[in-house]
Amino acid sequence: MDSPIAILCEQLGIDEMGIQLTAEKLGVNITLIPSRKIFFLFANGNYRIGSANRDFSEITKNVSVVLNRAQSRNRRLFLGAALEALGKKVLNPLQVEYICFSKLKTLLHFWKEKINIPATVYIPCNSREKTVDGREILNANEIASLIQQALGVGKPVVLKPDAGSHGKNIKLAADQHSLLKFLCEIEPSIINPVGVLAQELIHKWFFDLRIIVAKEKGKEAHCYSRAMARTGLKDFRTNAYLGNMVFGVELPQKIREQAIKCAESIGKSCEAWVLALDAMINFGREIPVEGEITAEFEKLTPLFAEIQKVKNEKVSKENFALWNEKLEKAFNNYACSEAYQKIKEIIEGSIKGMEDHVVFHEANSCPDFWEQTRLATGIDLAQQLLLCAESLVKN
Amino acid sequence: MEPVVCPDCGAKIEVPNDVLKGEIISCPDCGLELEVKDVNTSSVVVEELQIEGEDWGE
Repeated sequence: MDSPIAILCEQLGIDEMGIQLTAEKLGVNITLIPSRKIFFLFANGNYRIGSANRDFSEITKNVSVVLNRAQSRNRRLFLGAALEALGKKVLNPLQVEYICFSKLKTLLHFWKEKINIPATVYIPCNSREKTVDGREILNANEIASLIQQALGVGKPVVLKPDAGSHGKNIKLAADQHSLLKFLCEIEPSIINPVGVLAQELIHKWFFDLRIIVAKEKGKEAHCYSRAMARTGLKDFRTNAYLGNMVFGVELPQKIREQAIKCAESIGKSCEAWVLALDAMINFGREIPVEGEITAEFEKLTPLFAEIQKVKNEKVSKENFALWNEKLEKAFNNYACSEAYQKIKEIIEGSIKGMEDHVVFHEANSCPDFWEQTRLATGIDLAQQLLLCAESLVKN
Repeated sequence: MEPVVCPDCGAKIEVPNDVLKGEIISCPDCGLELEVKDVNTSSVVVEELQIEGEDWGE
């Protein structure tokens, strides 16, 4: 049956299966639009969409809202543009995708709204360039000097690809030698087309925050009161994708207000959107993680390993509901433990009184949510996406 | 060779008789790529091909 809501993705991943399961439970019918081996033809006022064997033009005609869940950031941009040209409402809208695609563009939107961001420097020059006669010139030394001139000599520097994901290619240069080494390794690529993005190192203790803000059409933007704290003891990158432990923590009202301001700076003039913001508390200095905390983490390790074990199981549409039950059970065992509660309280306690030191550094327009955010915070992002989609269909 | 069912869209995917282990077959309806993991007398075992480009992910 055709539906006014469609989901567009390369392949059904965990999150997309989660959206389908949620839609089923809510009685919402959603159509699948594949997004790789498919053509979009635009000619003489007409269009056609098709795969090798199937015409998606009619299906698409009946669709009014598309959940853009293509995992490739560039594909999301291209297909978002194509779908909006066809008059479809897209979640997230192209404007939001365009800003979130780039860390620099996102930070500039925050900065314009006077939101605290990590001091960020952009050098629009590549470390290596070719002259017209084929010689290679090296700019790493000059780029390093410019970074140090901007951020301060002798300070640690974080280098990031502008459109990177999952912590890929993020480097911490602790000194001049490593800064030069990392700069020499940066090559222009699909995730970092030109230049170098560098930031001051924020001393965030052992966690950062993932905060969800959403807006349905006809309603005010809303920031969920719980956030996901992602921890990292071994690496400065506190990224759940790297397998670090996660916790659900209550957010002070002031941080929620800041988060709404951030999200609105990206989504302004758009009717509906869902954003996952990444933020850190700037403690201003390196605070050692005491033995008491590491001992609690050690207690949690086997419980978290059980969750990882379930995650590593093979999942298909057929066994998804059953697999999800196992995942929820494993997470529940982990979250109900005393050690989890203790770390959660430590994080919440450390945030209190530090509301003015929250630093926002990224916005994600197509966040992973089923395996981490949903379980840690209780936020059903699949339901939120569907509510946003329905608000666009109804109004 | 028995056709396989696409795990994403449910379409029937025809499998050539001379299919080899390791070959990639695409769903003609949604384009999903499946890798042939095993070839039996009249059927094949397939698994979704895991693709991840450089710009994939949140």
